[in-house]
Amino acid sequence: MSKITINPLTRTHGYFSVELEIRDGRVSDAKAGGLLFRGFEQMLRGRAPHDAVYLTQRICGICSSAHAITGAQALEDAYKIEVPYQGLLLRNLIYGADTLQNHLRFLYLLVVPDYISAPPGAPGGTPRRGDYRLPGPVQERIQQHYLEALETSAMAHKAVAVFGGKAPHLQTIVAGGVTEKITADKVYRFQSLLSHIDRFIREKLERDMEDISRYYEDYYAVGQGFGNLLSFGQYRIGAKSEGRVFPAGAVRFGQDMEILQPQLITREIARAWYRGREEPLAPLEEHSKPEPQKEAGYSWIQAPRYDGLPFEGGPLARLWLSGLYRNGISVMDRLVARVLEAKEVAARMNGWLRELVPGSQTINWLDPLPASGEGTGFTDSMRGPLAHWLQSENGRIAAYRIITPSGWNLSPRDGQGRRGPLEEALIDTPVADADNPVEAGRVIRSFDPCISCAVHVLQRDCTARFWQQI
Amino acid sequence: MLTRRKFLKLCLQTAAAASLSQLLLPDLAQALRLLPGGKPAVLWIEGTSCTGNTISLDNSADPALREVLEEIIDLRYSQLLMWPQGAEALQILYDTREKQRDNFILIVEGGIPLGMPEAVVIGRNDGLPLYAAELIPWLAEGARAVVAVGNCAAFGGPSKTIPNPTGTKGVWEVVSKTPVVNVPGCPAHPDWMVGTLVHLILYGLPELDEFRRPRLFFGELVHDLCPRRFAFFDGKFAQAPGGEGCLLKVGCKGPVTHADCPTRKFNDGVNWCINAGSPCIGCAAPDFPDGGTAPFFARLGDVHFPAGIRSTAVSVTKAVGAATALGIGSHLAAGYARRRLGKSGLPRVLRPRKDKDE
Repeated sequence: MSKITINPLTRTHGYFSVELEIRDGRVSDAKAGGLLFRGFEQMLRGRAPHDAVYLTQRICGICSSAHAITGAQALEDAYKIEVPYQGLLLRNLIYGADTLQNHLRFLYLLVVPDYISAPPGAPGGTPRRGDYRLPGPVQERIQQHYLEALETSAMAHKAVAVFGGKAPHLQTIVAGGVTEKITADKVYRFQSLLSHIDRFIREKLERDMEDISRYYEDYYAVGQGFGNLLSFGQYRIGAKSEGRVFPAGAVRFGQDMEILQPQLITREIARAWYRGREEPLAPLEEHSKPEPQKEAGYSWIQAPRYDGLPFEGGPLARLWLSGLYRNGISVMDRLVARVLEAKEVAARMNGWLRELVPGSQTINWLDPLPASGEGTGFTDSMRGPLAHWLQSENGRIAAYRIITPSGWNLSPRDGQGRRGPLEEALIDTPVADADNPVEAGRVIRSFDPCISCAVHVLQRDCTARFWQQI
Repeated sequence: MLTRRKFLKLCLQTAAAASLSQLLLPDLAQALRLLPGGKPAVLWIEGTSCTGNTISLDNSADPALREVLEEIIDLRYSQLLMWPQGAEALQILYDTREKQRDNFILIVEGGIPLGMPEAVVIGRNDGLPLYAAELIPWLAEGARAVVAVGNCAAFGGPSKTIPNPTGTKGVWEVVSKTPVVNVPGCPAHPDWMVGTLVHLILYGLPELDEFRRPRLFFGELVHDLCPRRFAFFDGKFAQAPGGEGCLLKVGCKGPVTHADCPTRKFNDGVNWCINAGSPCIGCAAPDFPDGGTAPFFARLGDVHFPAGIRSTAVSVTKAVGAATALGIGSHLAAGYARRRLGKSGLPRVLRPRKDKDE
């Protein structure tokens, strides 16, 4: 038996470490630790509720629009603000373009280097050893597409900026709608960008992933994990935003889909670097404080659970729940689902674009907001379930809680010793060379890890003091 | 040969002008060939960061990231982009510091969590954690120059937001021996990052202001370059975000924020905040979001702070320097004198409201 640690685990958003125990050439145990802490929920306390939409985007530089939309939904829920239908369409278009940006960058910049050798100029150069199986010409083609993907993903962010003002960290999504106006020139500019990206996805991305999945077919049998899938639903549709393109729900391994019950969501800090109550807590119920020296801890990420169980989220969960893809749960299925989702989202975006009416109202602005309120925002970010919980008193934020997709996917063990979804998925992964565990890297990156989203802590006792001072 | 004068002119050209990369790259490639050592080695390290500046660099249009990587820099380390992992990745860091001493450029994204070093662990060496708070100053000490990209690296930014749970500081508050250039913004515009790098490589340190920002990109106020400034002078104010007219009353911090966003625009020049109907939130200003820029929708001067923060006047005066603040004050007051602003429209820039706990 040997123990290895991959740290830094590069090609992830934020710092991350994975510790593996190898027995007879296979992973027998795994620990995944998020190594980045900032404390956003502490920062939000006492601020103007509207500011949460801009500030929470700063949690993550690659999925900023997801936090913007979820934050805005939490405010709209708390203060009963209705978003005009055309504003909703703009949000879906911004979110869709950001999703395409994310999926392209994820697949080419973070995943492809696990399967092919580096083109000239690639940051850090080709790793000394790898498991490269593709024939020369195919590899060269994908290297070429790696470089083209740099430009195509920048184009997707340009499309975000057409209605978002700028990207990342866009400006136009606020509680009540979108501040940008719909004009014919913007609609056509967006359409032109979208058609370029769409062509890249259909002509290049799809073919590249087909080749990779053919030569690495064994990865359909690696990295299954618990097989519990969760989605909070994505892309609101319908005049009253009652529908979702990808429905919210949960699937326990091998069972039928269940309707999402938000009250079943809990979080635990048993193995995370926080001090406080260690039993499962409701999202806003919390007394934990950061404690980096905590002996039992190995991650800054807390352990979210649904009905007491670990669940994984992402494109595979969304496509499974909507019935679009149910081939299996594995490294390769996660990658394939991402490609299929990109195609599906691009097609939907063309439909939303056709529905836009220049000159329509896109925002219902409410300021000042009522003095107090309580609301939640639920959506799926690119890489899984994302929720914001907001409580305000005296016109300021009294409590804010964020549970992110990487919280679900990269969760550490809970109080009962149950592993997180990624940790479980790593079990049984074959590792040919303990000095160079490329196989484990492939399992880890199939989750599109984002440690920037690792979350944080809130001290209600301090909140009480804060209110006395006012 | 590409002269500094010609380069500065190229940098100032807006999106409407010919592509910067077409004009710049042939000259630049030639100039780099003449440099001893060719393309300089660059290490990109993150502290308390969201990786948004790496993503923003990926959005670079003219030159595109591909050209930056192929023609301008030898990017050896980047958590997000580099191909190797684990010990092999760390070895690249050590080798570059050792073999390229005083030649490589260190780019830092994210702040330095001095108050809680455990908040950012970059890797593990012989079983021991490498804290960003220790590794970054150590690398900086061997670098030719340090470029702090994004507001967190420059000034602490959102990572330093009160109550600053990780005790984050800006890079220049921690690094003393090596020159630091601040390229703030949340995120920094790719042109600001690439332009600063090219200037460093070819001509050395660019001209900096008192906050060590290149004057080239941060020399003027957003308000002074803003196309809606005419609405300001005409007294036409938007009553809600998304409305027509000057966005001052819905919280625009353009009058206290130095950056060339209005002429440069974002994402290949396609749009920018005020053009899209949302107020400037001062993301390039020192101490954003606490130096007087938040609440983002509160009018300048009506800005108030969470309890426990004593110096409200950090705000505008510290952020822009007393002289500039005076300048803005008189500028806005002049508008008032001409009865264009109306009494309620007068931003009390120089009279920030006092907190009740003071």
